[in-house]
Amino acid sequence: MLETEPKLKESYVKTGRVKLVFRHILDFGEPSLFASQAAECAGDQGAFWAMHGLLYQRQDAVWTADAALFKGWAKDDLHIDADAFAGCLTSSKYKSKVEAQYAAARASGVRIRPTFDINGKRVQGAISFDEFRKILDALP
Amino acid sequence: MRKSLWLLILMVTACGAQSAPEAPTATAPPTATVRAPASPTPSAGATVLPTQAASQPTAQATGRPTPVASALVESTTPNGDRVLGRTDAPITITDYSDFL
Repeated sequence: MLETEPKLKESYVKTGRVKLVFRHILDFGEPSLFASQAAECAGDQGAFWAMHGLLYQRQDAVWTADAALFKGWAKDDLHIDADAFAGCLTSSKYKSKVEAQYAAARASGVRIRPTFDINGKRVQGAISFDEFRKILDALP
Repeated sequence: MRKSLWLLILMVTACGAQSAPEAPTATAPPTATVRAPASPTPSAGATVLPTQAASQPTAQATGRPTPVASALVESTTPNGDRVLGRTDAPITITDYSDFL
């Protein structure tokens, strides 16, 4: 999604034709859980999608990230209240939420990352922007 | 009398030197002026934010405010899903992903 998502945003989300919904998959244990909580805590300040973008762009750092690293991103890249963000992250406020989303996704049959539901139609695995475009343009 | 006059001149000169310090350099980062509201709007459950900001050069790097490429609506559904885009968009893409 790192390359595809910006194109989707530009061509379909900005125009009002598509809305994106994100649900957390936690296939890699603690690093996945921590990254998802960081995104949710940024969301408290209206920056979920901005943090979502950063996490993908800096994926290598996410494996070993700690609260201080994410707090730095919150302050320097997202320009949100870094102390409030860090407080949220260390409180594990969103731990149960993201775990519940993961459990629900598994229960609904999600086995491959990424998986997309496009108006209810399931697409498994990464697909190109052109493939997205064919699917989206065929919808009413 | 002459001694007093010289003393007075010396005092005035000394005070004058102290009263004209250099103006402090502003240190606030210029990005502060281009930030979208940090908190979601509670009534609408949505906020408008610059989603491209993370990928743009920062103001600290360029010395200029970060340009906001576009504004997209970020919101949360009643069950807590994070949403980007108009809530009444005819197509919904639900992305099940891991950040790793």
